[in-house]
Amino acid sequence: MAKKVDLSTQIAGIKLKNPVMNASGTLSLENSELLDFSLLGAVVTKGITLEPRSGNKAPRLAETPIGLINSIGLENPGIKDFLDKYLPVWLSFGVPVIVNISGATPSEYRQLAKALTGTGITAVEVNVSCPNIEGKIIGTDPYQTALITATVKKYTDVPVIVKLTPNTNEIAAIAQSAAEAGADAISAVNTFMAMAIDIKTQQPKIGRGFGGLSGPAIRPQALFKVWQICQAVKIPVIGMGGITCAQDAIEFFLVGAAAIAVGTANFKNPLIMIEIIQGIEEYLRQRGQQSLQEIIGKTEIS
Amino acid sequence: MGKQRSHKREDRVINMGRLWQKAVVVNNSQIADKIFRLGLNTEISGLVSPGQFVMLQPLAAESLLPRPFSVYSADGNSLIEIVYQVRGQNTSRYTELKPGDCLMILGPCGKPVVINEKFDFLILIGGGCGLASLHSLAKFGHQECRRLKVVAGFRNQKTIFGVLDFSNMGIEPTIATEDGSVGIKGTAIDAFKFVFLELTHNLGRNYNPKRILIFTCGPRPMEKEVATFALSQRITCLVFLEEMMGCGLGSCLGCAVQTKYGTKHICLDGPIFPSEEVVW
Repeated sequence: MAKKVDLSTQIAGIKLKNPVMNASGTLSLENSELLDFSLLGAVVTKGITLEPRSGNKAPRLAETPIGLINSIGLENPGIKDFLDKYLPVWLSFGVPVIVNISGATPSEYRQLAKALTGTGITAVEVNVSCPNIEGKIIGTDPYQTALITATVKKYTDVPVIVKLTPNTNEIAAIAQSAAEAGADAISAVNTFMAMAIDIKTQQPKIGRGFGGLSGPAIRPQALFKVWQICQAVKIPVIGMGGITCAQDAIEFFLVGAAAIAVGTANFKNPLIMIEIIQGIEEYLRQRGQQSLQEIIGKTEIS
Repeated sequence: MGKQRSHKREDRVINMGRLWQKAVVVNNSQIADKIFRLGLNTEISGLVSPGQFVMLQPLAAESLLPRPFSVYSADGNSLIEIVYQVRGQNTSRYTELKPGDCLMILGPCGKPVVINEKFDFLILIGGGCGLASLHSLAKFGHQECRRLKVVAGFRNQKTIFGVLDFSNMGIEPTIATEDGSVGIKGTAIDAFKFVFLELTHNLGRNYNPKRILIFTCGPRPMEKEVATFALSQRITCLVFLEEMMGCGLGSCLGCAVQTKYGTKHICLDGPIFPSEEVVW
């Protein structure tokens, strides 16, 4: 009789029954009619800001070879409506809920952290990495990243995950900075800044001119960044960036990720995360391994 | 963001009633220059309402996003038809589908159309392949003694499609071609103005703009022109909007349109919008 493979993993002190969650902004409550959220390791909400945001002008999406440039611009209902109308529904699925927050100043992050205290969420994911809003990306600056991390950590009662941008050559240093400032976990990577031009109209394909690239096109680079982070910090890392199948996910575990997130792949197949969970289990079973933990960080590069 | 929609979990599931499933190709044939008609066997046929659309899985190896297509017709049982124009890699691949082939499909997507009973004249104005989105609305013309007029503009004779389908419903579309090879020489707008003049003339004192409803689908500049005209005549006009789409579900927030009431999304709030609300 085959023993069930243990897919559980720990992120920031929270035990997840499996290591698969969605990337922020790629799963909404509308998906719940097609996909049983309770099967996932966790769900991650769209980035919430203090005030409602209407987002960037269209077109907000451009396909590139095995990639997608997005420039959504953090459209979201704002923290008040989120808490009143949407969070109760997220919490009703009986699966850990990670709320992604985004702000322009430490004060905004502080207010968001406070507003989410005592709401029953599992963790806060601090977005310092969106390339589609005004201002320099916080996550390109170790000091700013530390400041925001410490601010959120001070004012929230749940574990703090800091989501990093790959638009830097110093991701390891920035991850260290976040860890030293109190981050309980790191998630990486957000999208790579990118652009596409329509040569018929001679205009950018994205309304704002540029956006963030995701999908298989970025996976090798994302994997490298995640490996760099895993070498630099001891706290758990949620790896993401172009994961479309179990094999992709396993690469991230092998370089040290304790969990993974799936984003763009959800659009082509709303059930892909379930298939990935099954595929990870199958990989371990075929290799005679009892648990996911046996492969985390297994690949060593000297 | 979705203020009118219920956010209770049970209501959400009942409200949308969408499926993600394998559809089987029943037929796939060319009906005009770069225009194909694809018949799919899917339970979505029993769920879809006029004005709604479906998302088909991409077939090009490089593509990550599903493709949105209006439902041309649905028999309410197991068959839906899509009329599509070949534009790029994916639509080219769709032309290679043969009966028996399988394709993943998501739907129905978008909000169904509900027509207020006060409208007894419907005018459908299609520009090019935009006519494909309007076809499913023709059934409203048969209900409750409504009269239906169809106006369609095409580039030339080779690109004309759908005329027979409307004829079979007893509706003769007024056609315009840019090169004048068939019907009125000009655009859908020219054909519409001709039809409108005729209508107002025939109705005489009985003409009441409040009883007329226009639906339009075509290139954005054309839709804007129709909207402007409708507004000037105080006629209600509903427009099909198209935008680069991601998930088709309401998750990615990619397909945004700016309206007078803020940002809305084609996959959730559309694809049909009151033209006076659109920020053109």
